Amino acid sequence: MDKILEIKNLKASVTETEEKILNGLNLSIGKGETHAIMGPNGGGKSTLVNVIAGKDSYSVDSGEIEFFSEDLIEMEVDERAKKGIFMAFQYPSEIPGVRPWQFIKASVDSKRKFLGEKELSVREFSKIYDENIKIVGMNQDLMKRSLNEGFSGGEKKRNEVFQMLMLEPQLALLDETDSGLDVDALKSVGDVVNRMRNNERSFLIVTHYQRLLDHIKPDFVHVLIKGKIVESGGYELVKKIEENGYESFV
Amino acid sequence: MEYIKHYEKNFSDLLKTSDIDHAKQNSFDFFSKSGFPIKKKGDERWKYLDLRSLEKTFYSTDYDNDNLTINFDSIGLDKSNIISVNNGVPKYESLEGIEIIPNELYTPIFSFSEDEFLSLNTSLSSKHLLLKVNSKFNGKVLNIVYISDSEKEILECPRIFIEVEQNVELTVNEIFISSDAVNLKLPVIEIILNENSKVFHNLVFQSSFTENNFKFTRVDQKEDSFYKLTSFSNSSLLAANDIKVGLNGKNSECDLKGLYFTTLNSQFNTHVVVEHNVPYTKSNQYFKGILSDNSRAVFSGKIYVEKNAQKAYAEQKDLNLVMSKGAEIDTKPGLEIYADDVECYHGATAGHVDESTLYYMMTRGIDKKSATQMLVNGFATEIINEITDEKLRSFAQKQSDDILPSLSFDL
Repeated sequence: MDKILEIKNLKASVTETEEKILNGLNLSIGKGETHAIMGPNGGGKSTLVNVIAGKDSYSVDSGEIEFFSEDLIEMEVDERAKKGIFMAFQYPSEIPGVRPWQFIKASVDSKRKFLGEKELSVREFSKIYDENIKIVGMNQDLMKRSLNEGFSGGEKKRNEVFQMLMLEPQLALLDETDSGLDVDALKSVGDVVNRMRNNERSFLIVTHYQRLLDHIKPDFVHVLIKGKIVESGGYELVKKIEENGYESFV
Repeated sequence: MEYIKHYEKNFSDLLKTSDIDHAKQNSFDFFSKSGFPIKKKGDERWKYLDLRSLEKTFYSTDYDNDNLTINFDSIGLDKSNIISVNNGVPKYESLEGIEIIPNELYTPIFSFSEDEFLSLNTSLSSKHLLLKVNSKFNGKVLNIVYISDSEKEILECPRIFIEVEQNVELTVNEIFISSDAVNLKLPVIEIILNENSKVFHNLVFQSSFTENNFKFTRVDQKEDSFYKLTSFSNSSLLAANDIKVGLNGKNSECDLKGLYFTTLNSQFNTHVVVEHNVPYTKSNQYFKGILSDNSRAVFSGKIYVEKNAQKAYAEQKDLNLVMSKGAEIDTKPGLEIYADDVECYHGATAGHVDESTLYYMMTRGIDKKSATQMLVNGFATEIINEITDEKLRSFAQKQSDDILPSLSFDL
């Protein structure tokens, strides 16, 4: 199967403190696959997705990250995004004075321009925007405020998923999108992911808990401890973790 | 000081043509003793700014050119209800609902001795206007447009006093049009809000890199009155927005907001004082600055609560985005409270564009420069949206849109 993401022997650290977080991590994601990463706090889960997205407070010390066989490491964050990487944040930023519509329109325009596609007219864009708001179950009134300002934790997460729908990424990174969600919101996030799954699109889902994965049923599950993937398997691995905790993998 | 001698001559010339006025004489005596507040120790308002250029230029008070035309289309303002102030000299036509009385003696609502610029204005102002706004003007908009095109250095001391009749509501727009004139402007506006009146005051400074503009607003609020001021300032060589509001009637409330852009080597001073002088009063101060290049801004704000002014509620905030290494903000919020049953909040911040927010935006495919501009625009828009006059708001938003791409972001 065609590879979307290939990570080889990746070592990464916090730029400012030089603290080593990822210690020789290998991960290969094929087209259409959904992978889940589980692991204890401080194991490097969030670091991994942020390194893939390009956050510059982390430094790649050695190893390779390839996205469609192209080296990602030197690529700017926005270029990675335009090429099809999306990240749903654990703690999305609030942006005063910027409306959700304006923000996502700028994002979609930027990506389409990069890909040489025609800019959507306001009408075409609005149609997709309204449809996706319904799919995610976003509160319309919230979308008239500044982006994420005054949104509850759950509403922020829904808004992340909404943006994912709008941007139609090739690889979606979900960083603990399930944390702080009530049952309904959790189901709604799971439904959107399932709806978006197809042969071309892949997901990398970072989570602490089984409950989101019960909705999504990932193809592969990895256990990340101390900056390394120590075990990989199928969905059944989730059960094993729930029963025995992470200690059995150390 | 040589420049003080120069103004002494101006002052004695003025006395030859007008009646002797003790207030003028006292004001001038105050000014000639103090001079401009250059590097004045202990004076938080002016000590961070470089005012030395004011000593070197001998501004003339000879107003000879008052026939300027204003391009209203460029501002998008209505041509009605206009008072234009040309090189410091007010021009107007009769306005229904406003009684205009030129050059009448009146008692100012401030003391000349609170500031050297105010004292100079008081002593040299020769053509002031008294406006009495009555119910026939209710709901209307008064536009005061300042424009200069003098080729010589003129000292402008315009002075407008507005008294709003009780139960009357109006909008006052003040706009300083950009010019290449090299004047020193000391405009003063005083507003008395009588019982249950409302004033929505919008103030726009267009950029001018040749002029110095020290703008003073003094407000006296009676019972149940509401005053809202929103100011927008695009960087000028040296400018000040000096505001003082007295809440002198029960249930009076003021809402003061402002945005200042400073670029290149411009300097901008915001000074705000709100005095809660009676019980049950409410005030809000919310200011924002965007500083780049080698510019400098100062914010000094004060909430003053008189001993008997119980149940006062007051907020004060000054937030600054510093975009360049060479830019500097000195911000000093202040409280002076003598009553014990009050609720007061204050705070100030100075920071750079938030890196984690930029990262968030870039993960959506927006490049760093566009993301920064969008963030700064969002920061600015919050204040611009408070401008109550739609036309002036669009004008300010356009000014802001024009500035953003030219701002340097070197941090």
